[in-house]
Amino acid sequence: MSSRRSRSSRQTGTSMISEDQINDLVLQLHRLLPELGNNNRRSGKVSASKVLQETCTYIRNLNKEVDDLSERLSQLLESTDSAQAALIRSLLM
Amino acid sequence: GHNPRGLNNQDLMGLEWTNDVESLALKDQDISVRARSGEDRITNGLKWSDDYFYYDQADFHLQIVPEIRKEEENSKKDLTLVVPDEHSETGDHHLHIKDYSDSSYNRRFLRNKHAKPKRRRVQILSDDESGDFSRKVPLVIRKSSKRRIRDDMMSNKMRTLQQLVPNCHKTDKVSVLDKTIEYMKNLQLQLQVMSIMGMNPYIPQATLNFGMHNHLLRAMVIAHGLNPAKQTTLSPLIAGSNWPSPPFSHLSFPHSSNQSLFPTPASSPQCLCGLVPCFPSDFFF
Repeated sequence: MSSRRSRSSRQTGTSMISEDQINDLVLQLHRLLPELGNNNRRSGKVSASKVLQETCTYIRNLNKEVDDLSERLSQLLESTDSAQAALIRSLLM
Repeated sequence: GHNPRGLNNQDLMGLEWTNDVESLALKDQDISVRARSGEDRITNGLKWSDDYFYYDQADFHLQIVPEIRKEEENSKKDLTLVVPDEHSETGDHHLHIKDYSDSSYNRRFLRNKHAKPKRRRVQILSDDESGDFSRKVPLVIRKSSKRRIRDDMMSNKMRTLQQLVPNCHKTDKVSVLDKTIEYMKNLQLQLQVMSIMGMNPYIPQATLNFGMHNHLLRAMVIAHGLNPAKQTTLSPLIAGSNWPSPPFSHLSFPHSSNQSLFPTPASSPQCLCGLVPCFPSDFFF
């Protein structure tokens, strides 16, 4: 995706990873997370460990969703008419 | 048993916090004593502590110290020894008592360190609320120790993330975070597309061939608009997705019943699961 920062601005050296970079990444991660409990919470600081924790949970949820949807799609492929099946197949390449 | 306060023995040992008096950097050099039983305390402990305890018997009551590792040893805790001290403003100073199973060690130790008859604070870990041994964090934890605890927790989470995110080989924080962000975006997009595919059988054929990225997103919007009831699949998981509203006009809806681009795939979920991870590569420039 095009919204990533350019790599040249990161990692000026292996030992020069600054706190700011990490904070920035954590903020980016936080933006991706679903904000179920804190709709208006756009404060400047988010707790990094909380973000990481929620990220782990979220990734697990996403994976599970992917599995479920895969199952559903495979069932669709088996059962539906040829038009939809063909479309799905062509999408999946 | 688990420490409800979130610090386990490993963490504390990792702090290299020992019970030696040298390591207690309080200026009045508090000592820690392990009393094994009330009786022991009264009969033996007071005897050898003459020159180093200074206390008025009337002020104190003894309490038995439960040891760190023996959580079931709480039957004899009924006395408290609290030395009033200028530091104990809350009376909440607790130190961990190492298991000096040899009481003579204690005596040597104490006698060497506290030959002066200066008034010392004897801190004994007390746990009034519950009968169990509960680990109390000593107040002498320094900032560096706190930082180390936090760093440990942080690196634990980093390691977890590394295991969750595929192809995450570098262990430095920036790489892990970067890959995580990318992976999450991938997953989200994957889910969007799969949801659409599952819902809407009439994805326009024109969208499949050119610029799948944009068109498919538009198709997703259409499907999204067509099936508002299915929104629940998407919105809880996908955050902040901006659904653009496309015009209908330039999209065509050919019926492609004859089109069979590929032979019938194996219809098992494994097949799809294997295919699906390839998905994002189709949609990224």
